[in-house]
Amino acid sequence: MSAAGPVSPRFAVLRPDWLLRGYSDRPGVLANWRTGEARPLAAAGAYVARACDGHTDFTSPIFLPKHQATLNLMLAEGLAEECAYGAELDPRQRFREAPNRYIQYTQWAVTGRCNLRCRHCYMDGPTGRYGELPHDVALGLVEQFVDANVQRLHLTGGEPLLRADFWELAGALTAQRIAIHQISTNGVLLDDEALQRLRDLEADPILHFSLDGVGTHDAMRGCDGAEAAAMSAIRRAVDAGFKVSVTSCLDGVTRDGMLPALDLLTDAGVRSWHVTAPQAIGCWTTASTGLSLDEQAAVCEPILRRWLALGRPMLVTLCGIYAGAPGEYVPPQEPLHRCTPDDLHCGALFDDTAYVMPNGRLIPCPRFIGTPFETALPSLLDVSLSEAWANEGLRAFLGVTKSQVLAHNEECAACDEFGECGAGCWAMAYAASGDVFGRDPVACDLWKSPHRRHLAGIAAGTA
Amino acid sequence: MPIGDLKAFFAKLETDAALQDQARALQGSTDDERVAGLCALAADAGFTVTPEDLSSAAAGTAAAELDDQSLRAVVGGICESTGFFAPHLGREFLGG
Repeated sequence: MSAAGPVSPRFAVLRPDWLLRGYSDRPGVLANWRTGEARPLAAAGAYVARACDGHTDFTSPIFLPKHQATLNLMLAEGLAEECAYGAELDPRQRFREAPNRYIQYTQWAVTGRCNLRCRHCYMDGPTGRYGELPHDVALGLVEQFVDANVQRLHLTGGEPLLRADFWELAGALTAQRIAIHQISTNGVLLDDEALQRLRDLEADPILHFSLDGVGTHDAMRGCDGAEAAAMSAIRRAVDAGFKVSVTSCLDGVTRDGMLPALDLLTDAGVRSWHVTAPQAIGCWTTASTGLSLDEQAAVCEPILRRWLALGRPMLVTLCGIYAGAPGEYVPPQEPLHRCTPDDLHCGALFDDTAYVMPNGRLIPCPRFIGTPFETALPSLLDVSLSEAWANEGLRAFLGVTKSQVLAHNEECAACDEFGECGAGCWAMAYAASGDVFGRDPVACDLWKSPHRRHLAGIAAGTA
Repeated sequence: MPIGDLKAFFAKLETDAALQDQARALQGSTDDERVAGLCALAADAGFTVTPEDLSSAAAGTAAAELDDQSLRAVVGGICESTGFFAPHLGREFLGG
């Protein structure tokens, strides 16, 4: 090898935003702590990334051409940069292996308390039923997230900004280089000082607001002035340069406020808007103003037409009936994935995603709040997140395949829509019938109805 | 089966942190010494790797080594699951 002549040594380091993490089921993941982006690595990629330490010479024979090519790609994509020998990595960027399986994303409801009285709250926020953990215990959870290599968090509630120590918790997360990827808020407490504090954290979260229509929000939220506060916060957040997303709950009370909301949110510069029907959990289980799918579609169609007329200004999702990206129309590609019986039943969304309740309970998703499953699953007050993530009950929950659901559900097994619907959501099935393996009426109605095709045709200009 | 051993050795090297530490410690020496050291390290780990194997591998191409797995897969890529109601849009867009 020396016959080829001297070769200059070549060193590289990970760029400052990227961290290298390992898990029991993954050799490495490059995680961007500001944006929350994840790059799961194969063994060769992890090997190269670990050598991006400012001290390892990539011209060494311990690297093959494929490793050189891998390094070149990492450099080209901004994951690493070449450097002189001895450049130091921030210790927080260095490879750190967690004993647990990969946890990419965790929603953390930091409080169950709220300053509004929403009619559809799945957390039963008006009563503060789930309370919030004491400060020291909450800081202990941050340490658990660190130990488990949680890559990014979505802070939610209740109203997260209601926690007196919210900024201290947020600061502890970013100090440990855990990305605060999203914050869900009603906006009431998100003043300019709060926005500046977010900036000071160097975090770049998506700020996710609720706005249940123009002229209808306060009725849904149970408090006068909530709409004005939400719109003010949305505008200030956009003006301050944050990525802003909005969810609007559609029912018989808010339906007339939806179309005007599109104009208002477009003018404000919101990046994504999600119109959704409240789910039959929490406070909404006793509601009487829910809309049928046909009624929802009747609201969504004019919204879609207006959104098209406005030039597709933001990403929209409309009650599962339509979803469209901003900008120029691109015909939908074949679905990235058609469900098969071998798929995990809810693995497509949740096999690397956890939800931590205000009381520290770890559940697969918030749709199980208030069900018997909630109390059967582990609490982070009793075991660490790494241990809880391996909990037999949780694994059994997450390990159920669609074939098991189909075996209990002849209607879904015989349905032509299974490839797309995947037998729906078992939390919705449970809410409807008390049987998690039962039929999910929401998904069933949605996929069997003509509304998806009809609205897709409108967007494509063929209907 | 030296080529097989070379591949097997590097497969182990890519996943064995202790072996990586030992391999990186070879860097301070000359090229020839590093090659000899790496061959010795491979032998200690139970693999037969010669300087000629390494020279041949170094002269090869990444494409030849990555015929079973694309480079993109090695480095990752956007690996988001898809949204339940919008499989053509990423979960990122759907609020996580």
